[in-house]
Amino acid sequence: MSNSVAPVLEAKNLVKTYGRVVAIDGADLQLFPGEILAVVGDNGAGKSTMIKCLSGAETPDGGVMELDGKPITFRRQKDSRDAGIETVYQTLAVSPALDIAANLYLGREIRKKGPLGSIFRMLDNSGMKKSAKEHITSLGIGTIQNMSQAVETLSGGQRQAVSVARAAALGRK
Amino acid sequence: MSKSNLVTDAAAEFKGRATNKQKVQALLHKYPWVSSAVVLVFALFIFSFGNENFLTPNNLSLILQQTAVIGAIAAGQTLIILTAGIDLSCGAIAIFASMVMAKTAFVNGWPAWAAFMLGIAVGTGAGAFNGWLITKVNLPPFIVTLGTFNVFSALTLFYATGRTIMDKELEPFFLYLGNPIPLGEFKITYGVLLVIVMYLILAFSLRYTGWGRHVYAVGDDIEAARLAGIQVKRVLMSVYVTAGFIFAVTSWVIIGRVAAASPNSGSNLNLDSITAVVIGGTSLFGGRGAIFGSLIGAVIVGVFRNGLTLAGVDLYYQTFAVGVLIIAAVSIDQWIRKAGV
Repeated sequence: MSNSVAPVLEAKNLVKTYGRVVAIDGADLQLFPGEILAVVGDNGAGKSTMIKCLSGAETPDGGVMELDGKPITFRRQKDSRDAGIETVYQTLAVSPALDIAANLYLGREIRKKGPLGSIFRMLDNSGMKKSAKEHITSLGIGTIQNMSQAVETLSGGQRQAVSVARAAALGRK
Repeated sequence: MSKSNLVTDAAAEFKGRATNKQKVQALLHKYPWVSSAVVLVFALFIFSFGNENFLTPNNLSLILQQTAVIGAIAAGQTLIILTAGIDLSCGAIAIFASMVMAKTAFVNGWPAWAAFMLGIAVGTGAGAFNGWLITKVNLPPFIVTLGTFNVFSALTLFYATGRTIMDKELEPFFLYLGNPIPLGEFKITYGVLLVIVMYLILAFSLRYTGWGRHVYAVGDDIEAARLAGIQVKRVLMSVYVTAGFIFAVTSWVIIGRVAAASPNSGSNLNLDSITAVVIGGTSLFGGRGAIFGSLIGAVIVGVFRNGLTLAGVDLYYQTFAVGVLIIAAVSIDQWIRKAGV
């Protein structure tokens, strides 16, 4: 890795404890633009905790995180998402009874344009379905056709695809 | 089922096409209120043979008037049950708010609008108190509302000192919702109309707004909702506050319906509202159901009680029938859930 490129995401001396259990003890991480980084370790080594810290699901007890060289603190998922970090969780974090389009845009729904959206706060369901379809197709997932299908009617692999599509299609960094 | 049917079913399953049973399951999965609507139509049909007066405009209007109060409470209860919560204190909140309205107006001589606003504020505040205990103190909704049911009931009795405020002592404003709207032979009261409007607003919010979608998502899988970036505690709090507001508005419907404000009324509102929600097809496990189902559920209970009374059936059997309805409704809910897996 050349040193001329600055890391997109950097964590220094990250610490996270749950009561007396130390989950991460001073971990460092550097992620460069375009890089695919795998975090490998034993069960309970703290891989998931580290990802949770970087995605705002947990707040680290010590250390600093920098995005594009600027220090960041995430209090909740929305903060990291606004910063452009998307996560695919082990549990997939999809809502089974909601349909695919609703899941893709969960927590960042798009409202209709004009007074219907601003005053009556109506969601642009057809618009979200259309772009959900585009995102799913662009990932080459051919078996999912109907965006109004509830996620629980999908197979395990398809659910995974929805979760990945949510992260891949809507993340920026 | 005949052998040839079995074969076609197996073939349809193999080809990935839905069998008729799966189609019904899928339909109910998408529109859980359909089964309750079918039960309602069926009940109306059956009871029309029980007594010739059953299907008269007069009697149907009466059923609607009788179910308006339960229907109104069930609207708030539905919101809470959709988030996988439960409110055992809903009736107590409504009665508390009704006593605050009636007593500040009659005993303290407040103008009707001010007494009304205070009652609404007290009911909404009671809902907010439930929400605070659930989201900030992290107690389960069942325990919280079991406690506040007793607290609010006791406060009502202290405050009202056991005295019922009669219709002669109340200003016309409070009794307004009991007045019928002239609609030919039908005697729909303004209270019934208010409840229907309330349902329309809630149905719109649940179906077409981001808030509604978040209510479903929180009830469906709270952890998934949190990881998707929904502020689940804020959603829960908004649901309990809105429900408190609905219960407070219901107190106005109650005063109009019984033409009095009594601290001893409405003790069965708490459980009856849950009955209406469950019969209406909303899942007690959260995340599934439709608000209009609860209105249908409330009407079904009203139709059963009224129809069986007119058919000369003993009161005990009526209660028995409602019990059977609940169990049937939950069985259907379980069966629908299987469609997803």
